[in-house]
Amino acid sequence: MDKSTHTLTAPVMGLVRHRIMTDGKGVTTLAGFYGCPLRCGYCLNPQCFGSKTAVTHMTPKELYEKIRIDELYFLATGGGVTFGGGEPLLHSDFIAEFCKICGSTYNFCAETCLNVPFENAEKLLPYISTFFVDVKDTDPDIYLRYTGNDNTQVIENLKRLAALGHDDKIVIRLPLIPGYNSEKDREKSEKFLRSIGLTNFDKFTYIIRD
Amino acid sequence: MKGKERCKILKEIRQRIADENDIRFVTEECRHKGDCLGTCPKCESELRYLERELEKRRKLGKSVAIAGLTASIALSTTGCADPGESFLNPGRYFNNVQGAMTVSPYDQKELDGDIVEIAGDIPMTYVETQGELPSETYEPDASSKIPVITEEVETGIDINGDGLISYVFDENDVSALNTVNIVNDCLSANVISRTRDELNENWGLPNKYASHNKSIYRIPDKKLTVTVVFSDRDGEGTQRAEDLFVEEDGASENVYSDK
Repeated sequence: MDKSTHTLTAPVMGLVRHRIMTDGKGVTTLAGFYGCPLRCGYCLNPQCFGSKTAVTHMTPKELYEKIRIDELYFLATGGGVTFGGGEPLLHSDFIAEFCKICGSTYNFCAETCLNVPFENAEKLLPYISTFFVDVKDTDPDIYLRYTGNDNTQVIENLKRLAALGHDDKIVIRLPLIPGYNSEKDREKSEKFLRSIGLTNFDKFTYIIRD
Repeated sequence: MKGKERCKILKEIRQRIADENDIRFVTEECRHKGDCLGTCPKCESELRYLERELEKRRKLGKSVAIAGLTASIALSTTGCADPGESFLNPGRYFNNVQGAMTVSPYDQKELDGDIVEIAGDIPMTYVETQGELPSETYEPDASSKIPVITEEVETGIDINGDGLISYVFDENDVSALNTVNIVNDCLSANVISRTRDELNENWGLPNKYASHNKSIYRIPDKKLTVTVVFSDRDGEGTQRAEDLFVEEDGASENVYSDK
């Protein structure tokens, strides 16, 4: 946030237009943000930690002006905006304001690690239709080894969201991460997450090329 | 999803919007040969035209039908869905970054198929590759303002026996992998020439990427057919894929090579 002028801004890493049926229904635009609490071994967007190039800070209105060029596609297909990055939930105030500006006709989704204060996720519940949560692995040791961070907050957030009845908004991403976890580990993760009330899973495999 | 498929879907959506709102809308068949990003100045102008026409209808008090028009258009991908995003090319954002996809772990599409434990401690997804890497060259048209060269060089993608897909940068050419798409079981890569310094500095990649040969692909649990398409400028500097258009007689023409 730009404290000097008290204007709500966020560091936007990039926009990708015309995604079709990816992380959200219909035609969507992905808005990526800088900043992430994790340091994943195979991060695909390592520049989100801080770029040597100039970082663009935008207000919610400015982002809306860029996004809205595809409004016809959003309206025709039930699509809208997916927030990613980096970790978009580090910018929940911004996203909430942005969603208000867009109105109720856009569909909003978020790709998140959920390793943020619960309030950050809670704030966006009225706006986000689907949270795609990449949990990496629920085993704390595996999680720490892969991300450099603790996953207590992630598990706590998932429990609270499930307890509040929001499991229908959550798609859990369960990756097989070469060198970090195994299929058995993933099965354990799924079993645990189902036990706390989560039901939607997306399993996939990281392929590392040398 | 390949750019041409994306373009086709977006065009269908535009046509549907026009039809439902009695807007005269005549589109030309796209003359571009080869893959693209899924949109172009011509496609964008069609969208703007529809917006203006719809606004005219509103001002005339006529009804406007947009929401839910696409129920009958096949928006779902039958193969692998669009992979997630990498913003590895910061210079492209806000500049019509249409359809530029990089494989990432973040793919929504639920995956069918089993993960087969083939060897070792870490089970790997079985990847069966089909076909062979195409070798394509394009002789730039003398009238083209922006020559586009596609080539299969040492920077090709090698399919290892264990199913891993590796990519090696040409040390001399310092070409860099720009985008990788997996669409309907086809892996394609676009390569934009950059200097190594620019790769290190402007992209802000950590050291493990500076040696060029690290990248992550999200491979769905199904068979893959691998094709490779490279585009490289003539060494005069970098060129973004969306810039590869030539204005001739007022029309835009993409000079991508034939596949």
